[in-house]
Amino acid sequence: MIRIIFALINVLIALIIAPLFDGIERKIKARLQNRRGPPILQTIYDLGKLYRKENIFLGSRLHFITPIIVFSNIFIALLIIPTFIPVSIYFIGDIILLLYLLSSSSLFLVLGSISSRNPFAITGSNREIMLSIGSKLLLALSIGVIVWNKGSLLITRLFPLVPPLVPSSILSFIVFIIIAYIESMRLPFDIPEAEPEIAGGILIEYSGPNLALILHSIYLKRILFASLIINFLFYGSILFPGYLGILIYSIIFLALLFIVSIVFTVIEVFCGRYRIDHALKFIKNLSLLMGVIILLALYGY
Amino acid sequence: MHSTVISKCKELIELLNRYGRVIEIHDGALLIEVDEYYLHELSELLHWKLNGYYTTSIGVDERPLNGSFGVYHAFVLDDYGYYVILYIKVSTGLLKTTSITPVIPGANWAEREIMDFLGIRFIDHPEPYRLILPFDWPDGIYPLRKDFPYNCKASVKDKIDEVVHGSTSTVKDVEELSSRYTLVPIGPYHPALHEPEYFELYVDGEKIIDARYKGFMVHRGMEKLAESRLTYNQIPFLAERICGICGFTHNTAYCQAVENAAGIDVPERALFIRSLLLELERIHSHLLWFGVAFHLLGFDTGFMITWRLREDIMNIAELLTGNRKTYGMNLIGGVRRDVKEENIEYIKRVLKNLENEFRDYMENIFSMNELVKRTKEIGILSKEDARKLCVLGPHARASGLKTDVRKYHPYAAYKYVDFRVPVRDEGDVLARLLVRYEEILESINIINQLLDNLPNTPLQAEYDGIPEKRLGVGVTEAPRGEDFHFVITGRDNKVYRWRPRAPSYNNLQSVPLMLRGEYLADAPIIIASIDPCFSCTDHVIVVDVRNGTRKRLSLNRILG
Amino acid sequence: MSRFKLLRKAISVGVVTEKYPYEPIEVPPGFRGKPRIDPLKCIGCGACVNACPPDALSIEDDLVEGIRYVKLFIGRCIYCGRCQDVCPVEAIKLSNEFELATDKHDDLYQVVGLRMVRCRVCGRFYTTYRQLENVLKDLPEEQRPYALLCPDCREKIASLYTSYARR
Repeated sequence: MIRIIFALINVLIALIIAPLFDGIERKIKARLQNRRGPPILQTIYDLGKLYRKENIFLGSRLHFITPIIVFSNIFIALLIIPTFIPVSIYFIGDIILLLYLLSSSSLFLVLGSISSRNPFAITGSNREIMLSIGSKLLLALSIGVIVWNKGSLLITRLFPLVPPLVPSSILSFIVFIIIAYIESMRLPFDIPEAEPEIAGGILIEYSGPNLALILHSIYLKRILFASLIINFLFYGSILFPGYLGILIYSIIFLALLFIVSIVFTVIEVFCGRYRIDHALKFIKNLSLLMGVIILLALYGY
Repeated sequence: MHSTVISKCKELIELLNRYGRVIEIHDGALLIEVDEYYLHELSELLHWKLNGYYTTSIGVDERPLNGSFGVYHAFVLDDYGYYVILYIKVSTGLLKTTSITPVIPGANWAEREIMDFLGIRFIDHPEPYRLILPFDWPDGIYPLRKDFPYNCKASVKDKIDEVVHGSTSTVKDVEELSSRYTLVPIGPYHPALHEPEYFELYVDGEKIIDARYKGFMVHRGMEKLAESRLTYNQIPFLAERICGICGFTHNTAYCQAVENAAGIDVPERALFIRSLLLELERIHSHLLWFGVAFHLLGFDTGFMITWRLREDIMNIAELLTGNRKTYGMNLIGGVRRDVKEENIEYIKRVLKNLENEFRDYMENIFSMNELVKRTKEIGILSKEDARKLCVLGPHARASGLKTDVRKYHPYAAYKYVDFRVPVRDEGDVLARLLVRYEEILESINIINQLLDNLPNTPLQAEYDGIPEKRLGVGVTEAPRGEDFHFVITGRDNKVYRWRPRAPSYNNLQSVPLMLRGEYLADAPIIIASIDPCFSCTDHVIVVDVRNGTRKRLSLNRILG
Repeated sequence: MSRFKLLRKAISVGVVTEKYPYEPIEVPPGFRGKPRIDPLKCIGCGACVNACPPDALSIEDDLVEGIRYVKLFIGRCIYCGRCQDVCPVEAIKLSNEFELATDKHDDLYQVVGLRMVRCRVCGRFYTTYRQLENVLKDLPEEQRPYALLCPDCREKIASLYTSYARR
C-alpha cells in the first residue's frame, strides 16, 4: 500500500519537474545563443495557460481522445519505474509492459494526427511512424540484451547495469542512451514536429488542454528516459537509511537528472535538423551495430 | 579600354540599325523603335546569339504624349556593357501586340502584368491569365491607364458571378493531380515564409510531384502613386520602402535613372558614399539570409549567430545615416549627409572584427555534415534553364552564369574599385550559400577600398530642373540580383512613368522548376535559397474600383 | 571538432541582448527621431509642407480670425528629415525620441498658430507677420512697399506700373 503511495508521489513530482526542466533547458539554450531567454518557469506558465483554454472539436472522436490516452500511457509507465523515491509498482514481466506503453503512446499519437486529415499532420505522422519503427525496435533490442545478461524480466532487477561486467551490456547501454536522445524530440531528430517545414507537424491540429496533455507527455517522456539512464548507472548505490535517506536520495537523483538534461541540451544547440531519410540511415547504422552486440551477448560476452 | 567600348558600341549600332532607328538615350543605353514583325528575330538575336539576356518589359500609357500605348522590352548585353530597349507602339484601337514569351520563357510574367494593368493583349502568350490583380477585379478596368485616378474608392455591390483566376504554374491539369496526390499548401501563412505568398505543392508521400506559385499579395500601388502625387525628390523615400531589406538599392536605382535621363553628373564623393551604403546593405542582407536559411534547416543557433554579427552593420548604418534601415540618403543629384573622418576608423575596425568572426564561424558551420547533406545537390537549376528563365544575381551566379551589374555596367563608384565576382557551377543550394558567403567577404574588401579613397568634392550636383519626355534607365546590383528601374520624365516636377523591377520578379519564376522531384522537407530551403523578397516583387497596390463603372464580374472555372 | 569550437565561442561571447525596455537604450548622434516645430522660430512659409513626402505637415489658414495653423501629424511621418533640410529658419528639427506609442490620438499632433497680416489694399489675410519680417529684412528699400500687399494686389499694381512705364 505504501509502495503505491510512494509511486504516486514519484509521478506527481515528475509532473512538476518535467516542465520546470524544460524551462531550464530553454534558458541554457538561450545563453548558449548569446541571449537571455525566457524565465525558468515559462514552460509551466505555458502549460497552465493551455490547460485553461478551450478544446476545439474537429469532428473526429479519435483525434479528440488521443491526448488523454497518450498521457495516461506515460503516466502509468512512470509508476512502474523507480525515480525520485526508489520504489515502484513491480511484477514479473513489467519490462514488457514498459516497452508496450512507450510504443503505444507513439502509435496513438500518430493515429490521432492522421485522423485530423490536415496535410501537414499527415506528413508529420508519416515521419513519426518511420522514425518510431526504427527507434522502438532498437529500444526493445537494447533492453533485451540487458535483460539477457541480467537474466530477469523485472525492471528493478535490471538496475544497476554493472554486476555482470560484459561488453555487450555496456555497448547496449550506449545504444540505449542514443535511443533516449532520439525519443526525446530534440534536434536533430525533432522531424515529426518540424516547425519551419511543416508548421508543427503532428501537433498542428491540437489546441488547449489536448495540446497541453501532449506537450506534457513529451516532457514526461524525457524525464522517464533520463531516469532510466540514471537508474542503470546508480540505482541502489547512494541509499541512506530512514526517511532522511530517501530525501537525500531524491535530491541527488534530481541533480543527476539535471546533469543529463544539460548534456542533452548542449548537444541539441549545435545541431541542425536531419531529413527523414538521413535519420533513417542513422538508425540503420545503429541497427547493424545492435546486431553485432546481440551476437556478442549470445556468445556470453 | 575606352576605345574598345566605343568601337563595340558602333558594331552593335550597325547590327541593330537594320531593324529600326537606334537612339542612344544616355550613356550605356540604346533605344530602337521596331515594328512587331522583327520582334521575335531581334529577341533571339539579343538574348541567345549575342550572349545577352532579357530583363523586363514595361508598358506605358502614352496617349497624352503621342496617342498610342508603348511597350518597351529591355535587354542587357554584358559583353558590350549596354542596355538595349526595344520600343513598340501599340495602337489604341487594336490594343494587341506580339508576345516574346515563345522565344524567351522568362518574359511570361512581365507581359501578363502589362495585360493586367493596361489591357494590351499579347498574341501567342502561352498563359494569358491574370497575374497581379485579384480574382474579383472586374474586367475592363485597367489601373495604370492615365484616365484612372489613383485615389478612387468604390464598393462592390454586384454579386460575384464569375471569377477569372490565374497563376504561374507548371501544372497543366490541376484536377487530375489533386485527385492522385496530396496537396500541401505552403502559404499564404506559413512559418517558413516571412511574407504572404502561396506555393501549392502536390506531394506523393514525401516527394514533390509538381508545384504552382500564386503571389502578388503585398501589392501596394507604388507605380501609380509615384506618377500621380509625388515629386522627383519625394519618390526616393517611397522607393526605399519597397523592400524591408534592400531599400537603398531601389532608392539609388531610381535616382540613377532620373540622373541619366536628365544628364546630371553626380559628384564623386556622393558616388563613393552611395557605393559604401550599397555594400553595407549587401552585407546585412546576406547575413540576414544566412540566418533565415539556418533557421529553415533547423539550426537555430546559426540564426542567432549571423544576426548577432549583423547588429554591428546596423549600428554602423545608424551612425552614418540616422536609421538602421531606411537610410533616406539619396536625392536626385547626390546624397544628403557626409561621412565624417572620425567615423571611418571605427567602421574599418568593426568590419575587420566582423570578417574574422564570420570566417571563423562559417568554416565551423560548413563542416557540420547534417547541414551539408541537406544542401548539397538539392534544388538544382541548370545553366540552360537559368538562362531561359533569365534569373539574376547570386542565384544565377551559383548556376554558372557570370553576370554582375557592378562589373559589366559599372555605376556609382564601382569603376574605381577592384573586386572579384564569385561564380559556381553546381547550381544547388550549397552553391548559393557559398556564393553569398564569398560576396560578403568581397563587400568588406570593397568598403575598405572605398573608405581609403574618398575624394573631396561637394555632395550634391546643381541642376536647373529636369527636362520632360526623357527616358532613363537606372540599374544596380541589389543583394538579390539586378534591380532595374525605368523612368520617363514628365512635367510639373513629376515622373510620367516609373517602373521598378526587383530581381526576385525574375528569380521566382524558377521555383516551380526547382521544386519538382525534391523532398517536401527541402521545399522551404529551396524556396528560401533564391532569397525571395516578396515585397520587392509585388509593389503595386490594388486600388478599389470606381462606383458604378463595372457591369459584371465574371467568375470562370476557378483554376485551383 | 567544429561544434566544440562553436560551444567555446558561445561561452566566451556571453550575453549580448539588452534588457530594454527595463533599461534605457542609447541612440547615436544624428539619429532621426520625432520632429518638433519650435513655435518661437517658425515663420509659416510652408517649405516643409512642400517637401514632406507623406504629407504629414499641412497648413490651414483661418481667414476669418487671421491665424495660420501649421500642423504636424506624427502618424504619417516617415522621419526622413526633409523638413529639417528645407526650413529657412531652422524651426523644425528631428529629435532623438523614438518611443512614440500612445493611446491618445491628440499626442500625435503638433499645431503651431501664427498671426497673419492684412493686405494694405484689399484687406485680406495673406501671410504671417513673421514671414513678412523675414522677407523685409533682406529686401532692397524700393521693393519693400510691394511686400505689404497680397499677391493679387501686387500683380495688379505691378502690371499697372509696367503698362504706365511703357507709355
